[in-house]
Amino acid sequence: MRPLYYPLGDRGVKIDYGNEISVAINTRVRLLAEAVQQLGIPGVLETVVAWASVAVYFDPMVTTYARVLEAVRDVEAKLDSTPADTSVSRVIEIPVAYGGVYGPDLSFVAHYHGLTEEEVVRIHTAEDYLVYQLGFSPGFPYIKVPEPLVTPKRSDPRLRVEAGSVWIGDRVGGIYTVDTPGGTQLIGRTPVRLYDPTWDPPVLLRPGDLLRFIPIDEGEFERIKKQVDEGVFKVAIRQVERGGRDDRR
Amino acid sequence: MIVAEVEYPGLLTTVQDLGRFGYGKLGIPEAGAMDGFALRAANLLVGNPPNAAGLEMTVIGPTLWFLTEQVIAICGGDLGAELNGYPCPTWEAVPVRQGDRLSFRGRRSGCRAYLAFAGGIDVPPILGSRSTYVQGRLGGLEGRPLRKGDRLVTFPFRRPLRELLGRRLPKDLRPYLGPPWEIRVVLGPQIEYFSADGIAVFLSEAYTVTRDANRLGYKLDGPVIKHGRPLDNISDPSPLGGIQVPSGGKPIVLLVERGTVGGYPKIATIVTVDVWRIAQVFPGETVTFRAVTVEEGSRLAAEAKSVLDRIG
Repeated sequence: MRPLYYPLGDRGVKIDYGNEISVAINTRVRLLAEAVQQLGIPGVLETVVAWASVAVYFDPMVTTYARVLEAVRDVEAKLDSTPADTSVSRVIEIPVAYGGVYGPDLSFVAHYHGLTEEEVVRIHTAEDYLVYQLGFSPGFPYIKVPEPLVTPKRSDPRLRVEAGSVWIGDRVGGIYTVDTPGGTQLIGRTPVRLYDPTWDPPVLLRPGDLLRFIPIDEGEFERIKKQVDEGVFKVAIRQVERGGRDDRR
Repeated sequence: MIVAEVEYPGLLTTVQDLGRFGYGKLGIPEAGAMDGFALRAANLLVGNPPNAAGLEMTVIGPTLWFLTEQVIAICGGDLGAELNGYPCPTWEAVPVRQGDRLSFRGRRSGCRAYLAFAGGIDVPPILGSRSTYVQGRLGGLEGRPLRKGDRLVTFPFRRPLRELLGRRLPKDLRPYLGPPWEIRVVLGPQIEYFSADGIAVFLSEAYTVTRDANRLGYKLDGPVIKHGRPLDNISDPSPLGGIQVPSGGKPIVLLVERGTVGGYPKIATIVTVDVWRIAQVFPGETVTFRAVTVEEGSRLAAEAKSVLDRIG
């Protein structure tokens, strides 16, 4: 898995593993970012991970692309001799009320695939999803949508999507963390908060987490929402061991 | 120590330092001063470390009533600073007395000005920074812009304020913050998504900053930039100064509060000194883009550093 390297202006190095979404590539991405951070290259400000790439940003008044590139290449080359990733992941349970006012596009998605709404929910809640990256807004996770539910984005984006909305857009999906415009298919909503500027850190999720969607009804949604608003809701988090870097998708 | 009270907040005045780093992978952008050179210069002029918290003032500046003596510096765009009704010098250390009033008559050039107080603004650091991420309601003064009645607190200044008098950045060392705005870029990281014609248009035509211009980014208007292949790229990290081009062909400059990853292909990334300069371009003004090497960008940053090193 040899990456390509690109400059990002005069302030970044992009390590690019290509255009494919896979667990194996994303695991390597996260390992590389972690290793770069541990190294503590002078002048480096931070690393950002994405599906299949890493950006290492630096202060151009302190160091140069050439110096950071050399250090990063060295770290990347050493990853091959790093033991397989056997770290522990968190599986975070996300309760979701599907359809109706919570997921106005559930019926469209079902109809698009010739499924019932119940079948869509069953497929959507049947697996643990890797959080490949966070972005777009704070704590906003990106997951890979199961093949049977891949649905094109709406031709008519909404001016406002409520925070907590669970979405599908082509082959990727996730959860909105703040109210923003959005053009994706909304199939449900979670009462759980994923971003709160008063928390430390302010976001619930991290790249490398696993998400499990748990279907709930309206009564349960309102009950949990009340607890969230009062600051007393505890998200259910399990720990599981990762098993190597195989791509199981 | 309470140093000043806000009598009038201005259009968008926020507490900023040089940014919050380390949380980009959680989707939290760095925020911080849009014109990093101006904030650094203002801080150094009043004897602060370059990363001390100051005020970013946008287009219409605030009115502050000083409750104690202080030394301030205002750098960046010219928003018409006045002290007690008389023109207030910029790019130099200015003593103020208890009871003095700082106000801004109106924008003359540039778009954003930076006000540093000796000692630096004292607000609780959030995730290691005093910057305000305005969109995310995080950091700075309670996660929000200044309001009438706010009181600004600074850290005590250990040296006598009179030691700062006479510190100024001579005119010939100040960045020129006016049109024509030539913005230097390094091409990529998705240059292969653009046709040769598209790249040629991008590097030769003038683009207007629309009114859809803020700390998240600037939407530009101008000749359509044509892609050369279907937009099938997966999303990747969005660098500060990245210029993304969605299917409509109109470029968007990504700035300090941008989404940290993005799916539109990026034709180029602005070099750091010109990210600072583009913060001074006012909606309605036009920019042109010139491709430079990474080494040239580096050289420009080193030049800026040597200017800043001369202050004090």
